[in-house]
Amino acid sequence: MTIALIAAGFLIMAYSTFFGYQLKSRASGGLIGTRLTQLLAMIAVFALSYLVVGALTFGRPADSSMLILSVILLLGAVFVILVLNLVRDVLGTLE
Amino acid sequence: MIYERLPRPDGLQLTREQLRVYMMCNGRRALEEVAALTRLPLGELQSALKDLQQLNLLAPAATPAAPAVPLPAQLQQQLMQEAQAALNALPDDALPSAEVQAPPAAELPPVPHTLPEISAHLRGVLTEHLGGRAAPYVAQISACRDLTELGALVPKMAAKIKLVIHEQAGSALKDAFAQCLAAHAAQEAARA
Repeated sequence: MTIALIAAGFLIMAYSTFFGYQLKSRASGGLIGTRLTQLLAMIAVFALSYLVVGALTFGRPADSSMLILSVILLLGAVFVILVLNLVRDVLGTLE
Repeated sequence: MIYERLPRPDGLQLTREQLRVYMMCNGRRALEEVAALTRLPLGELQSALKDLQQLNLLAPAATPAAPAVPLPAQLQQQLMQEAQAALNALPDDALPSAEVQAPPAAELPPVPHTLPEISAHLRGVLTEHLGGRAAPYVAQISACRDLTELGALVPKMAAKIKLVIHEQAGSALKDAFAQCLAAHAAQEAARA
């Protein structure tokens, strides 16, 4: 269960990285462009971190603390997607 | 150093030396050429050039048309002596601008206050910052038929440019438009 949640979180983060790069091409400069570059760098680091957490917990017996951590990580990935959707909507309004 | 002449706004008064340098510096001229043509002493020439640059009537050319070769010291000295002699030989009223007075130091080039001037100024600001990417915005500004329309367009355009294109360009556009609006309001108040 823990591994499944972390894998889901990683997939969402991987998609977020791709989605973020697509948005970056729409805002090449300006305030949003600058902030999006920083955001993308952080998203890429966090996506790799999901992989590391998954590798470290693989094969370990599941306990409640790991389950809670996995849920928190998954919700973090969902939060990133929501932020990127907000940026997409702002860009759409500006265009 | 190569100097390039910029358009002179109507009504801008210059001193005799400034006007002489401005008139002689047509197109692009090297400092030595300007010195030879104006026949002014080096000190006065440099002072006039500095004033004209501050008044935004002359600007150092970004890319010189040809590499500037410094004159030999002896030739430069001779040129200066000839220029000084020729200047001394000139009557005081040799130039039509002899009666005009230099503007106060605090007086700057006039801020655009009519729609065509404001529009041209804003297009210039955008082109300066964005280069070729300014084309769609320049077209939108050109399409404005009155100041009200321009006033509705420019703040939105500045915000958009600041957010997604170029932060400094957006700020510069906003500031330039605010200055123009203030100048326009002052002009209207003066008329009233």
